[in-house]
Amino acid sequence: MTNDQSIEAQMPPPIPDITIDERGSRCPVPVIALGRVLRKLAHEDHRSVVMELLADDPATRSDVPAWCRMQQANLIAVQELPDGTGWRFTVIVSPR
Amino acid sequence: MSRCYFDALSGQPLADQALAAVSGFIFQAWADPEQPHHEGAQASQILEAARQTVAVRLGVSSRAVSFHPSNVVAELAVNGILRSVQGGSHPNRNSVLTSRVERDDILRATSAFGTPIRVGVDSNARVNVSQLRDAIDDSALPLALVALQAANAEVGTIQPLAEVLRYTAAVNLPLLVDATGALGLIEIEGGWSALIADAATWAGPRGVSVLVINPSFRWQQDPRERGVTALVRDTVDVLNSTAAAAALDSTMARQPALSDSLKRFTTQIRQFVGDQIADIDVLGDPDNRLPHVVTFSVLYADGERLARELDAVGVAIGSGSACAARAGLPSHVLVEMGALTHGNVRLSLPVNVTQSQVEYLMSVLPKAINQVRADAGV
Repeated sequence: MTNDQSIEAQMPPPIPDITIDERGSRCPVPVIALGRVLRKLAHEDHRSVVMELLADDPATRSDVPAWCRMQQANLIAVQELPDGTGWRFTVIVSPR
Repeated sequence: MSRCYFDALSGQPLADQALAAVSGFIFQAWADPEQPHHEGAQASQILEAARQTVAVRLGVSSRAVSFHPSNVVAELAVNGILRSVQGGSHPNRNSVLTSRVERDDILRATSAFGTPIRVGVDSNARVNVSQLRDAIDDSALPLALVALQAANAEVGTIQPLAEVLRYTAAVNLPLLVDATGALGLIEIEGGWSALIADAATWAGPRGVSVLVINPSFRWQQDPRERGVTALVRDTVDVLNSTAAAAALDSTMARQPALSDSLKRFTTQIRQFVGDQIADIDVLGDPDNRLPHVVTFSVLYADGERLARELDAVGVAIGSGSACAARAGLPSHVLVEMGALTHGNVRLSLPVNVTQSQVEYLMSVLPKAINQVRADAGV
């Protein structure tokens, strides 16, 4: 029987509104891609947006959390991709 | 405007006094100082004077000072302390306690033995002292020594050495201090067992380091070096040792005025980038830091591109991410701090920097950053 806690831990992150695949790009390119979306959203009247970034540069493991801290975005999950090709970062950007 | 050089920690012009020493001794200090002939004795005398200069500055005897290539000094120091501890009353102690933000040379030298224990840091790269203390006090750990930097040369933060020294002294555990980036520029707390530092820090020659052993530490000489006058055999040439010693002497003679003026410059730069440049992560402790280092990460900028852009307008900077790009990995210091690892700029001011050079840097920096960001499409 699975207990509540492990269900919680295995809960998938919300369905993304936007997916950015930057596997194969070196930093800062994956973070620039996040930045571009953020700039675009700044001009729109939007609800909270769920962004998903796929990346394989090890520097993104540090730089995506640092980007979220600097841009007041919310990093809700970092998962290793099942096929071993990198990581999936799930980020929520709330309206300012 | 002539060139403005802000990468002193990777090498800077020799201090005048070092230049004078080199040109004065170039025809006398070329022989092997260990040979008993006249020429050897002459070189040996000059080397002894260099040791003496450093010894006086650090309050030790000249036997305790030796000069080495920078890429081997960490290993020499760590191995020597371990040999002394194990040859003394603790043959089974084989682990080294360090922080996770030590230089690569220290991390490598300390991984060669037992299970290295590494303590994390806060967002300024200051070592977690309570974790360090817990490990020092844990008698179940087979600790042979603690190795800690005086300051983190990548971001400037000064480590709480005095506090750590109290804990190591209480349990009689040797402490190796890595004063690279710090010696000559900040006061280093006494009481360590051994200290190493790179001469580029104080405007000495590049690639030369000193190893200093505290008289109170029972250093056991390497059996292969019996008969050598100093505790450790010097492994760089006499001329470079002389230049390193003369530069340390002249830099320390300029204190505290030199560090006061360097700190005014770096404070100015830190404030400027923090106020004038958007989306920037200014790193390291804002106050308790090396006087000559300013480090920041520029969001959306490629560090190497930014370094090239500035170089083209006459400004030389150090880029942490440039090293990282070569190794294919981000800087371990920035990762441990949770800092942005790309777009990293480390400015390290040489001892002869001027106000107008600092002003020129600030006048070209925003444009260079805007250019690199615009090219990236942000």
